[in-house]
Amino acid sequence: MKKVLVYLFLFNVISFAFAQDYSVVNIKVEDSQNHNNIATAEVSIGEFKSTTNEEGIASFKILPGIYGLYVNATGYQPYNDIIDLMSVKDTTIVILLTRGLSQTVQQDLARELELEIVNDDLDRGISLSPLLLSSRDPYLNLASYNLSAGSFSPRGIERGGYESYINQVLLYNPELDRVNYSDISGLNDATRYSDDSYGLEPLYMSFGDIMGVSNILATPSRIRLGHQISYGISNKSWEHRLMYTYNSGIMQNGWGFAAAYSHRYAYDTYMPGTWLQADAFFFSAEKRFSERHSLSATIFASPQKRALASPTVKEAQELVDDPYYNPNWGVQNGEKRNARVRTTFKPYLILNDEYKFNDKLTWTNAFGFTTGIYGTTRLNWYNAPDPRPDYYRYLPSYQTDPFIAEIVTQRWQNDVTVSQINWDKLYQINYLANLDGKSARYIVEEVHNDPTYFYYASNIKYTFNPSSIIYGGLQAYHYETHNYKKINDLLGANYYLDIDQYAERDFPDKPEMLYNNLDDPNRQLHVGDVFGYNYKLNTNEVNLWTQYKQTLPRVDYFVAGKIGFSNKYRNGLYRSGRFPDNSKGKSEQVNDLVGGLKTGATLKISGKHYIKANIAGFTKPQSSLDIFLSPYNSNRINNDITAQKVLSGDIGYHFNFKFLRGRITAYQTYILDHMDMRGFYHDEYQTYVYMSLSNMDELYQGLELGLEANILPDLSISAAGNLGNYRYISRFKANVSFDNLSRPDTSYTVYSKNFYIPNVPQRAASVAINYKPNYWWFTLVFNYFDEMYMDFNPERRTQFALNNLGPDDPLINDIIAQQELSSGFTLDFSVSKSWMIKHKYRLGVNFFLNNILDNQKLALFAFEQSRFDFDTKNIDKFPPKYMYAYGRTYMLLIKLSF
Amino acid sequence: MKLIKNFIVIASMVLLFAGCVDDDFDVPPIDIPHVDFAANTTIADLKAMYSGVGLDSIDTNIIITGIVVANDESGNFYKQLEIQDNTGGIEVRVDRYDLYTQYKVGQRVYIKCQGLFLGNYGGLVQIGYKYQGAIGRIPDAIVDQHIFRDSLPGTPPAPINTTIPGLSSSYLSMLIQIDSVHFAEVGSKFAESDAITNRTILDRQGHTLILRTSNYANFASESLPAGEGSIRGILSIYNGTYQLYIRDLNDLVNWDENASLPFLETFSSNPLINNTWLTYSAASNKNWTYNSSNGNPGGCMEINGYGADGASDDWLISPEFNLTSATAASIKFELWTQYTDNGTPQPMKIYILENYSDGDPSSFATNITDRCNMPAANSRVWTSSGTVDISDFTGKKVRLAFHYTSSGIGSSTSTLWRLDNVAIDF
Repeated sequence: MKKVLVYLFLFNVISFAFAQDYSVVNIKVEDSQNHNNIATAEVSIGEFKSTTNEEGIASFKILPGIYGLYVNATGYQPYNDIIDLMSVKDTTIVILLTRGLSQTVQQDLARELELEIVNDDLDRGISLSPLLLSSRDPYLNLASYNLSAGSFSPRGIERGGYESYINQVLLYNPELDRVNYSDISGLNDATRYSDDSYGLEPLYMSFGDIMGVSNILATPSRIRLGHQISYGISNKSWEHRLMYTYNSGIMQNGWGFAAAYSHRYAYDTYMPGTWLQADAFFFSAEKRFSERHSLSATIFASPQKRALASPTVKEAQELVDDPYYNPNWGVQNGEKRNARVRTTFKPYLILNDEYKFNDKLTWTNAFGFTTGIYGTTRLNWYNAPDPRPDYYRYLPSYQTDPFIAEIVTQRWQNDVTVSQINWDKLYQINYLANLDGKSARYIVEEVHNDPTYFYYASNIKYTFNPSSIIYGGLQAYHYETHNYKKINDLLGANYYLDIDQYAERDFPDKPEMLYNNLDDPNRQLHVGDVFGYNYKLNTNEVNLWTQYKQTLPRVDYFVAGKIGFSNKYRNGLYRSGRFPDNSKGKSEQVNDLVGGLKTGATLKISGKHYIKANIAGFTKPQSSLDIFLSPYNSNRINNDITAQKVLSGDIGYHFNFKFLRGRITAYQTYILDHMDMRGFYHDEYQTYVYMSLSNMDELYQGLELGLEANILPDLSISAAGNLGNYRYISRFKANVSFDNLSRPDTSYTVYSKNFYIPNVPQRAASVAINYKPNYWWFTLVFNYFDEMYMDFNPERRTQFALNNLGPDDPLINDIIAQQELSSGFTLDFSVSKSWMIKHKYRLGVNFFLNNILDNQKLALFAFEQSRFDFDTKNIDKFPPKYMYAYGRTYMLLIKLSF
Repeated sequence: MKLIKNFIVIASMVLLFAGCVDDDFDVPPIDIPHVDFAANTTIADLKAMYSGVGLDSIDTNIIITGIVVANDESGNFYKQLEIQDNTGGIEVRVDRYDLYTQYKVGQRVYIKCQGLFLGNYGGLVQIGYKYQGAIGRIPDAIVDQHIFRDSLPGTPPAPINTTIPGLSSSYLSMLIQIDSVHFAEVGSKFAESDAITNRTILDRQGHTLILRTSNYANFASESLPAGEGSIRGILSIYNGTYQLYIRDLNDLVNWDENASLPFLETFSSNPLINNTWLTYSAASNKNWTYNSSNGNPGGCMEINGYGADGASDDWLISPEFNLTSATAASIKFELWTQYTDNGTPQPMKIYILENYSDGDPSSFATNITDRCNMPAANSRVWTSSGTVDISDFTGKKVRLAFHYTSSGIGSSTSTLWRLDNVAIDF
């Protein structure tokens, strides 16, 4: 690593030696109708950014070369071009802007949609990146927010791959390897502006990842000035939203203040039985001591309480004739009650310091801290019938007698206490238990993964000259989750017992095994009491990174490197009856040395053609969730741990003609030695089991195509398409561990080679027609999704699952084949209009109509259940579960800014 | 200041505007179920309607009522309820788990029988639903259309006090109690871990009743206690043999594990294996052995000096009885004999041993043969000794011993003896 740095410096010195003459390029921005100068327009040439003065001029001092030119001004449509400055010296270029909705407004709209999708009102987080929005790449523009309504992920990467920062603090959940977008939800206007890079190219505060990096700029110097009030109604994840944002900007005294508040609520979201109650707070203060030094403090939180929808089997959806059937709710005393309610509250504190030693050297420090709660309720029960309405024994298909099956069908269709949770009955059963002085039969428990997160980064930027910059720094974080269960509601009972019923059944003669906490056995639990399991997972990481960027006349390139250290361990707070000697206290430490290299170059053949290529290779630690054999009750570690290896590259051809621009890019990514931990109830052994998968090698390859044709000044058509091939290319190794220890740990091979990466369409396309007459914007988008595959149960792809089947048995294919989900298309429409009132107030109205044709057959995700009927090998006994993408939805936003 | 004021004004407007989703739910009141129809048939009458074979559908509006006396709480009963009224009991088979959460012992239920079926399993009449041409369980989906709870669970009916010989088919599926019983397999588990298991309940007279326990019962791995007490349970029958199912260990009532038990040995297993009984061979290679099939009934102990390496002299010695606090004691046993030993007028003699532990017992022995009714030579019938009073040994620790001798090894110089059902009462 050190050597690399030395070479980088040497290389830089050499490029100095060949330094060429700079030329001054003035960009003059005018109104296309009256040729008035446009001041405060944002202009960028390649890496360099500036703002026009009163004369409409922005001035740049750059080396000859071919550059991307971008101009954005309020009230005008954005301007994009590539300019050839190879042989031009000291020139002025006049750019005429057409009146219309600015890039900022367009981004606003995109962001509204995107944040909608990011909201995890479904019982599964969705990993997407809002960073893609501000992209001026036609492919990304379309793919990011039009295709993501389905399950599309650029390049097939659903988890990981992105880094998202807010004020240079990483918003990250290393356990899920995912960006915590929901931590900023409801703060749309305060978090609107960001610096982004797409793909392998790093931004200015880290080594980056393979899909991109985004840094949200949420300080008084960056948020839009003045007041912004918006009100929205929708039938998606909220019904009403009110949002207010204010920013003073940096005032004469060097201080700046920004604040925001929003409230969202829904009595019923799109999914039946779900609701939302969410607030968001934001406050940021910035003090600019001088042109060189500024300091800011930002606090924000997005407390939310939302009822969730869960995927379910097709049979249940068909019985009630609703693909959005949600088994989580039921009627209690005449009111709808949802058993799965997620409560999150994670206030953040962020401190930033930026110090410019001189024009060349800038030093930034960022510190972030959050701690809070993340709890999700669910029903639990003890020696009592399963309360979930869609339990397989309660469905007509379980009945062998057609007469009875018909009765069950009728009941499902006519009786809400059958098709949904029968809360009243759960209470009555608990009341009966009270009569005997017994423990609750049913409870609502809250499963907690409460995070605490410290982040610190110190970065420097050194500008050798405007076209040659080196960045470097240190990143360090400590991430800890406290994992436990808490009694949320005893449902009328007097108490609950803290014992493991699976152990109780399998080990009647070893009473100590059934205690979840041997140090405090036989506890009678009441509301608020912690029980079941109780442990902390700790992840620590520190890394040093650097990157060097240079812009040459024909070539732009970067090289970047990183080296770091990662540490993880479990800290048990309970002494489990199953692992009395290996559950309490700290586990063995799992340490990894991580690092890697990246490089990329853009070859500028001419202003109309250029070629971009990038390549990266690095290692990445496994998540702390995936390295323990039975994390709920022991410190035991999977012996197969090895760091993940990521190898990624892409090469693209970009073209830019007056009426047509676009690109075609081929990409390929290997993620090797990935690990995954899944826990589920095992039908064969009748106990909770942990399946730890290792040796998961993934390949993501494909072609991306993006086009934008400007047919008329007001009319454009853009198109994006992806042809992907996302596969597992290895046989997994599964380590199975039985929670109640009724069987020894076993391991076996999963025949998973060439299976598709599930729940992401391998092929997708989008075509948009944009019509933008004066301050109007109409968009009609056609989206197409295909070749999406269901997540598969590894146990069904084992030798064991095929036991006793002859070589030609047709059942073999039924058991091992991976199911394809239905393809389909959607049509979206949006219209936006803005008015200036008294030259001060800007009123904007946006209306979105998504999935106009109400296609309800597009799976958002689907998975085979982890239970498999090994005895009769009936694959329909535990059929797959589905969650469908929303049908027709709307959103209306009215926004006033001044 | 202005900006702060602006912010506060607008923020409070927002707060006022913002609705609140109520997530505190009303707690439902306790539901006291009430049935507004009456029973029109007794359980005994319903059972009497059964033809005795196969499956009978119930096509008329028959309503019975009864009180739940057993459910699946402990796991010993599986998907079934036992209900009874004053006339009798019936097993109700229901295809639902954890029935006990709704149908507690003491719960009054009404059953609308129309649409259900009567059948039998091994002779036990059951009400249920059809399943592959035989009696099966009432499907979960229609349970609530047939079985209705009435009021909250009350005190369950008192068990019917009876005795093993007093068992009658009218008690089937009812809660009964038998006093002064003990277990033959003390120390064994109620059920083996892999199968439903039969154990033996004995009264003081040696009458036996099968105790049948599921391996899924939560007390299956508990040990059968020593001592004596009362047992409660649901009477069942299988192919003419009565069986008792307890509901949980609370059905062993007033159990005294230290009770000095009337001793009864039926030789259902070989007592020599674990040295419960002892032997002492003073002469010959033919000794007391276990015979698993020729007892009265089952196993017994046997000795035969025929074909030995010399004239026999062999002792069979019982476990020790502590008569230190007894005021009276008696013994009883059964003998069976064949052939005649011309050289030995009394080939079997009965002794009481005092303070014996091992070795030659003759010096500890008192001959009590004269007090016993002994079988006639070569009589080949099981002959009871009659109740033999040994009250003169109270205050002592004693063993019972059976002493066999032969005069030779031939057909008229040796005899065959079998011993079974040895009892001592004090």
